[in-house]
Amino acid sequence: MTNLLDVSNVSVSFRGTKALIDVSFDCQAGQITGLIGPNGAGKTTMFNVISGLLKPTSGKILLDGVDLSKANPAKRARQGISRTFQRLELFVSLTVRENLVVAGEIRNSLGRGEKFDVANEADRVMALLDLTDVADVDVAALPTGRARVVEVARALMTRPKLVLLDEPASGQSEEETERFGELLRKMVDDSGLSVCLVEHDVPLVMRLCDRIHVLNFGELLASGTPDEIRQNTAVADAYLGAPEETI
Amino acid sequence: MANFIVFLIAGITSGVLFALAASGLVLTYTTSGIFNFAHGGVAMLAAFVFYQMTQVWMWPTWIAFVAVCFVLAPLFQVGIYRLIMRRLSGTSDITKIVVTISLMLALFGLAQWGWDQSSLHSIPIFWGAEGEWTFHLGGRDIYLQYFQVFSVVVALFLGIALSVLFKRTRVGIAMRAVVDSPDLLKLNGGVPDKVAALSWAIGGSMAAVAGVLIGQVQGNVDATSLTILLITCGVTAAMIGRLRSIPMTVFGGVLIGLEMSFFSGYASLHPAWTSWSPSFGIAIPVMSLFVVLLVLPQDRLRGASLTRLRERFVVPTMKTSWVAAGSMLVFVIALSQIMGSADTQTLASGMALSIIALSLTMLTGFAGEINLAPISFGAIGAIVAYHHGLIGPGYPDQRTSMWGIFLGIVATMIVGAVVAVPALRLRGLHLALATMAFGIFMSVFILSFTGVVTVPLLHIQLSFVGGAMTVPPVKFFFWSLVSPKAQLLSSTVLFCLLGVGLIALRRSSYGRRLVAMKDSPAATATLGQNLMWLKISAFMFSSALAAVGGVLYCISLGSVQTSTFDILFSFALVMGTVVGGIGSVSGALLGGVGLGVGLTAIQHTFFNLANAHNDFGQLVSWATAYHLAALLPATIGITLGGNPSGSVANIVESYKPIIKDLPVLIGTLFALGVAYVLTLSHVWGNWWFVFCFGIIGIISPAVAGKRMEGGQASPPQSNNVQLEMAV
Repeated sequence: MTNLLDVSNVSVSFRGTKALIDVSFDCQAGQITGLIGPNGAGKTTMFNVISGLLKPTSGKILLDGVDLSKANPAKRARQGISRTFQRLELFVSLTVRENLVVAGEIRNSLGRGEKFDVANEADRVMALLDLTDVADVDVAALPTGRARVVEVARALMTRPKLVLLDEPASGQSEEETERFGELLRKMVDDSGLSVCLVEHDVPLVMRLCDRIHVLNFGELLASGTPDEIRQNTAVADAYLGAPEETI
Repeated sequence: MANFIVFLIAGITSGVLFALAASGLVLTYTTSGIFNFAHGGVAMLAAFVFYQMTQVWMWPTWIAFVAVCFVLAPLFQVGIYRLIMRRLSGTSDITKIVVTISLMLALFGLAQWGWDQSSLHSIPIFWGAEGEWTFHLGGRDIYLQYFQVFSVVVALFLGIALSVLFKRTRVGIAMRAVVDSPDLLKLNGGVPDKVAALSWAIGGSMAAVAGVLIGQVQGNVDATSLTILLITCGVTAAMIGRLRSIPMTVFGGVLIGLEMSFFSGYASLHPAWTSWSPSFGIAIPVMSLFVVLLVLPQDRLRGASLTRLRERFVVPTMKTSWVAAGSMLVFVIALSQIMGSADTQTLASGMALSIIALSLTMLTGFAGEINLAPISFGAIGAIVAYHHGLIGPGYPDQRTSMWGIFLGIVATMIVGAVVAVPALRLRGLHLALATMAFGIFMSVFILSFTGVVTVPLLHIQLSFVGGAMTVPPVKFFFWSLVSPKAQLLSSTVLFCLLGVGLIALRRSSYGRRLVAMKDSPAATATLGQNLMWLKISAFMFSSALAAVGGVLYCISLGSVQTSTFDILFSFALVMGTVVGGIGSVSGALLGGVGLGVGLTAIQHTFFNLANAHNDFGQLVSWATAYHLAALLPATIGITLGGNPSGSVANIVESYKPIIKDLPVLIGTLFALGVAYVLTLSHVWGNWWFVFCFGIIGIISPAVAGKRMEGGQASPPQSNNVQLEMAV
């Protein structure tokens, strides 16, 4: 199987502080890849590097074998990378529907893939993610949990090859998280979507992901299937400093 | 060599004073996150109060110095922090900027009120002109004044004290903590409010010391030039310190002082440059500001949605927009029947200003890009149309051709794009300052030349030959729009069309993208949108609007001078538009007409009354009312912190009950109709109509509101989405 995303030897430092140190990993097409690690491990920094918002000190980003290291965020989006944000970045002056519509319109104007009917697509995605009831509500008025789902929906409107989800479950109730997980799995299995997931809800990551990469203090600590990660003592020590069972 | 030393001494003296002013600005910014445009105003006012104490009341100099700089200024600053600045949390950049600009305009108004600006206000320097050491160099005497040494010592002392305070003391660390996280500071036992107030007090002292001493360097205290000098030099030095480093700020201040001193000094020695040298004085810091903003490390793309802003703007439907535009046109036509030609002319100029204000609605309201110099863009359109678009035999039969206006629009769009390219790196406050620098540069440098200046290659003339220009009326196909009424109606029709067009644009895919970029550039970019073209196109469209408004504004005024395009006037228009509501077309209308008509009319009336009844006594007179009226818009601007979405939304909200209450609606229309007919048939004068209009405007919503409370009318749905009338 070919790698959809190749991250090789990425390092980032902010004024001497090393946020990422020579990190390499990959994401496979049609899979959910987890990226976990304690606070400050560099997960969001890595997402910023992949999506082009942050220039790494060194390293390469390849999507489908195409080198995107020098590309700006818009170019990367055109190549099929889409993302959500840990600190919400919704268009707060617009309604939920408009947030999705504007994403679809931008995508349609890029000349990547077939054009689609934006209004219908927005309806479809909202129905898929249980957002129909708040379609015409200003996103500023939504509670954080649902606002995160809107970000996911907006990211999906660009019909990406790879979507980077930054803590989509935080702020959601246990049941909502459960439903969201099932839905994500279903989308990946049915439509061939590929996901890279940063999430603090470890049980969710273990249940959902095909492969997991663990970051710790900017370094890649381990990679493997959920079972392998679960049995990795270094991960248990460094990540949670807690007994294995809690993972 | 001797000249070099003379310029060096002068440059260092004014440089350290700029550094002082700038350090105060950095201090308040660091602790409150508010960039205080009024800082220069406080310094300016301090100079006037010092003048009053020493030259009018004859207080001893040192007592006056201490009283102004270490008692009054700090108290005043604590006052404005408590009453105004504290309420600004959770508002957008543009609101914060406009509130402090309003405050600056208010201080400016106070200075004009208290001290007649047409006469000289000179403050002698400390120790007088004789207090100096003399050196001989190259066969020339070089003087070093005690005052100059004193300025350097005071500035260095305050600069070092501030640095130590920031880095070494508990209070200083708390000051830095306030802006990072007031809540965390509170949890750790700090009192953010007191710490911030203290920093505002210290900042006030620094501004006042700088103002009083710069006033002495200048010899004569003049409100306009002192304010602009302090703003540009202070801001530039503060930006060199990147709004956080005091030592770098001091370095920046001295650098600016030296630049100005050397450029204007050496320029004044060459006969060919003498006519340029006064312009160098202010153009140098302005150009430096532009350069500094460009080389500042780029902000990373970030969203505005980290904290939810309090501003909300609802986009009306197209149907509502057409109805509102039609109603407005009918209203203006009716009004034009009863107005005299002078009033009509005034309203026409207000309408033209509203069209310039539409450029702000588009650029700032929709796209979130701040422009503090809309009038400067308008000026370019007008000047190009004047130089390249006139047809006909000469005054008074000359006309401005449609071709000329078209050229003006194109030229302004090009300038807009050129300004937008550096702006691609800038957002929020930085962009505001860059556009301010552009505006000041235009008015003090480009437009100040009375000779012929031609843009190379394009052969476009950009100058005021002879210091003034008279833009003739427009020739629209076969019709000449000469009479004030024709000008008013054509401007109104144009405003309505452009306004409806803007709403259509906002509802389009392009409009949604602009708003998306405003709310979160990061998210917009990661969806695939090329932000560069979006920004450049927004700047170009808005420049085109400003150009159209600029041409019409100059036509309605008849003759215009450089001062017509003053940066302070641009500030006032931005303020008016934000007060009206920056996100809505009606906000632009309120801002433009309010500035062009409301203020002029009120001031004109009070001015006439003051002339007719100047024996009312000093304290309460029509002259007082005249000056109070001048302060009114600034006062409204200052209160924006409490109502950041602008006033249109509130007005519409208060009038909504009338629309739902048929008896009151019919009564209101009937009363207005009677007042109108009485005026039209000359039974009473226009002022009675204005009076009745005001009274009806106040009483009807009150009655409708009361009836609604009493349950006699069907209550409107209390839903924010209903705000559609805020076109």
